[in-house]
Amino acid sequence: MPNTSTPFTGRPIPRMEDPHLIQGQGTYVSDIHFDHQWVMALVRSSHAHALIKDIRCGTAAKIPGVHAIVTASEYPDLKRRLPGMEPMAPPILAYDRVHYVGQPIVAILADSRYIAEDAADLVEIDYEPLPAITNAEIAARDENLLHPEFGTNVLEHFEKQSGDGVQALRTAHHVVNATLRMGRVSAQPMEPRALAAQYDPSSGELLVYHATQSVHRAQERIANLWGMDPEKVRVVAPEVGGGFGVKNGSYPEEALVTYLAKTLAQPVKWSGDRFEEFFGTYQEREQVHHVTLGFSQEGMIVALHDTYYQDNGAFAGGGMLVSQNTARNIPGPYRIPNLYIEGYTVMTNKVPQAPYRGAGRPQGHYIIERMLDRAADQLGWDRLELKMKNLVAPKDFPYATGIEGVTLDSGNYPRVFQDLLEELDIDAFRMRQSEARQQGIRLGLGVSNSVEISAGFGFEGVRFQLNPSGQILLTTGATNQGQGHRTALAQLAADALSIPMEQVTVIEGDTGRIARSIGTFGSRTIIMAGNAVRVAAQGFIDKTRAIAADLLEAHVDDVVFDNGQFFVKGVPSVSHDWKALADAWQSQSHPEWPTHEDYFSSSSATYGFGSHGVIIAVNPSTAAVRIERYVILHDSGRVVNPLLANGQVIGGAVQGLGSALYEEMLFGPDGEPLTTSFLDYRLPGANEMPDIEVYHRDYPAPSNPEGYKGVGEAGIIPSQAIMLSAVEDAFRDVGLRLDYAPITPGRLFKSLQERGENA
Amino acid sequence: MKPPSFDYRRPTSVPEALAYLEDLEDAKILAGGQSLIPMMNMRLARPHTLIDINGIAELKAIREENDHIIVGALVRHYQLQFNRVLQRQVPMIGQAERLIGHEAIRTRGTIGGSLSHADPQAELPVLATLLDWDMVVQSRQETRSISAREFFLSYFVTALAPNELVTAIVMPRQKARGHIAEYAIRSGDFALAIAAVTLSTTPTGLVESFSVALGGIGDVPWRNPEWECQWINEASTNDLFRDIAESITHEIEPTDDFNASADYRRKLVSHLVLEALKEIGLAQSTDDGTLTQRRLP
Repeated sequence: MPNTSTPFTGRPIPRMEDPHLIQGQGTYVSDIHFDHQWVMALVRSSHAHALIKDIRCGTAAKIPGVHAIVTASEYPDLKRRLPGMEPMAPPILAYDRVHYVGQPIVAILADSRYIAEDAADLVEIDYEPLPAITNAEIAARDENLLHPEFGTNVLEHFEKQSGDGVQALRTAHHVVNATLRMGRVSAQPMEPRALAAQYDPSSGELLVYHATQSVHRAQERIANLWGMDPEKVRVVAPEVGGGFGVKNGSYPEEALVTYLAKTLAQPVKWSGDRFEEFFGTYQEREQVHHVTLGFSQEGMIVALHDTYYQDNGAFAGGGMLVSQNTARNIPGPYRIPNLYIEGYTVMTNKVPQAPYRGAGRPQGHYIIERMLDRAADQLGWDRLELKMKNLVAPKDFPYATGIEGVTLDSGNYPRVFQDLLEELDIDAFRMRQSEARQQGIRLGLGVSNSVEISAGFGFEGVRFQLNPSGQILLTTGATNQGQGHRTALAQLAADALSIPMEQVTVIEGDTGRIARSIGTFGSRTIIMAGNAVRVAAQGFIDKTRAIAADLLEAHVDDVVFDNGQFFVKGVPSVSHDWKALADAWQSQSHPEWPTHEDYFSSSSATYGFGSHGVIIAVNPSTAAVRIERYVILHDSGRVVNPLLANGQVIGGAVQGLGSALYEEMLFGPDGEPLTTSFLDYRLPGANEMPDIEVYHRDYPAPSNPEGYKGVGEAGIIPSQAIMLSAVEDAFRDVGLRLDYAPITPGRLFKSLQERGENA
Repeated sequence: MKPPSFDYRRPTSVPEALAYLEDLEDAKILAGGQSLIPMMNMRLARPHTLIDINGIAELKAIREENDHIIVGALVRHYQLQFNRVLQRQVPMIGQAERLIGHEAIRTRGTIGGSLSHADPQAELPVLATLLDWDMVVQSRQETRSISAREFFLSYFVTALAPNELVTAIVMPRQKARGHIAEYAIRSGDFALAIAAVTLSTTPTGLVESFSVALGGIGDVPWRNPEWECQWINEASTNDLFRDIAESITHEIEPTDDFNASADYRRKLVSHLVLEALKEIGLAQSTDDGTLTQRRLP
């Protein structure tokens, strides 16, 4: 009898998937090789904005091993607009006009990627360049239109107001203004995007291996676009090497690979390379905000007014959601009785924006955190006290922030923040800081609070199946991109069925194995699929009780399940475990094994909370920032596996520090991207990062039965705000003000130079 | 990111390699491949033939000859870093090596490859310029020697003719104390600026010899012996070091790009030269016989 006295849930169990992945035994899309597959390479636009005058492919077609050269004029189906990019979608292949450097124009199919790239080199395209629009605020004036047929460069203009809105600023005793900017960043998952598809003309079935975060959404897009029965489109996500949001959208490559596989009845594969991650994968963060924050005489926030512009790149798509989500996050964990926020989502000649880890959460918090710092500095208050006194208190719950659908519900923000300040020992730090300053060493402190709004829409499901020897197969459509769900879901399933974890196999991301799913993004999988495990397990036990009733020669209503055993109520001495049920089922020669599929739906979001603190040392001679200490106090709700939860929080923080200190996609005046390899686009490395300390202050979420909260994006929310805050603090005596993230060494040098600080 | 197709030869002797270089159109030498292969993958380099010299044993030796050390072109970074002879005779190499890329790069990359590639942001061309190394260069017709200051012509351009191969580097024994300092945004990155300095003093504390070479600020490593001369016989003090660090900023016209402005590079150079001088001064005053390397925050 298995020892089930200690539940698996809540324990730091190492990832079950690791031995397999670490030994290189994982199968990714690039490891899938169909017989006689044709490999795709793309000719992408070298202009940010131009008319296409002519495309000449003649010499490219003559290279041995080249099978097809595909343009939209030869395959007019490829002039269709990409799904999921409304209201302004690109054609699958550009044919008359290009709108960003990297936009696909020609697809080449060949025996290998080497040959396909040789052919791509020989394709000649004549362009008539048009002026590139690279600044969202200028684009919003509509002096030049990206898409004349759309009539404006502004994809969306929205307003959100609460209380007396902007009128309330008149009653404020103090008013602080700033223009705050965030540069563009690129997610750069370790595995670039990739697809491989095979079509069976006799059955009409299309099999698609896809490095995607959402197999069912991809299935729906592909089926709709090509007029197929979704049942005939099977999308499988094998191992996926990082997603961060950018593997969740609609892309030309998805449409191309599936179309060409089906139309040519030929297996087609595309494995994007690192250049394509820079040129063709959606980016994020780029916004400019004009903010005013009003205070009472005592330093309580009276009102916030923010007008902002998001540079959404050349087309619509997920970026509009980022813009909206920014507004939802501007109040953060603070009480702001009157809000007036208006956002403009604007098109420019750059790669489109789409959600990247955080997806508006970092942007919104950057605004409120930086404005509180700025107000404190300008009005002579203490930054930490100002934040403390404006935090939402437990007695305020449920606290409606004034943004529709955002009602903070749990935790204890002031206490967690206080704990952070004690952990950092602020008084001791201030003393050390002033001593160091005497010796020309500049230390800085930054603190930041954040709410992580997660889930709150849709559903997720799991399917249990009894297999030979009592093995349990758990399938879910929510795919794993490295989060470790296979371990976390196995922990939950093992507890729900009172079996050892080894008895559970988890398979994710295959539309052939479960009917419906939404996918893994927005820190939702444990909240949604985790709750679904509990729901489905109960249904599964109810179904299998019938098998036990047979074995026990009892009425099903009299059979109970307890601690891994089925027995007749009151007679625990005669019992059967899962293996016995499986053996009995097998001996009865049923055509299929017993299964149960169930779903958990919820429209209530969860609200995690975090207080982050960082201590840095800045070398004023080199403008180099070194992180001495990074401390996180975090409310993750009920935690399934602390190793995985901490991994998410730490990983998010590191990724965010990259976008706070180093990472930025830069563009030239003609809209050409300048940072297109890891030489110039610098991801944070292990040497640059401190050992991040995480301390839990977990308050179960009241909005779902298991009390889970999101953790996937928690770590990345405060990064840009906190780092600018800390660097300013290091130069507090000279009044350094930073309004642009990231604070790269070059940019910090310039800011210090302007302050006369480093001549 | 796949290279165009190319032919491949693997000679086992220098004459065989030189014959290939002479006879084959558009051939390129493959040594450690740490720069060439990425450039081919990005299709920035498209050689018709690669001549892989990794099988040529005679290019792998390090030997002492009179007052010189002769280092074969195929000696790899990690060997330069840990070789006993070099640690004793040219200690600045070991110090510089720790700043070059990452271990994986140092395991494959070679001295001949680094110098022939002539990346102005790389450390070894700066040291070659500072320490007056000579490149031994062979073609089928002749063997000649090119001094470092005549070897580097521009970004990725050297005085090597298409039929020539660097076979060895001749290094004078390092007579003066030296220090190399650089600033890179992340460890292992190409530096925004590199300063390599040597300094020796008379028993009475006057500057006897002094040289500075800079990297990362222009198309070739920077050095100006005339400017160096003016500091000879000055008292070697922190005040002098500060004067030198200030003076050099007026001598240079650094690159201005999106990674760093010219002003920023000038400031970095001044800081790095001062740091290098102070390190040398400190080592001389304590005379502990070691060269320390301080990590910049």
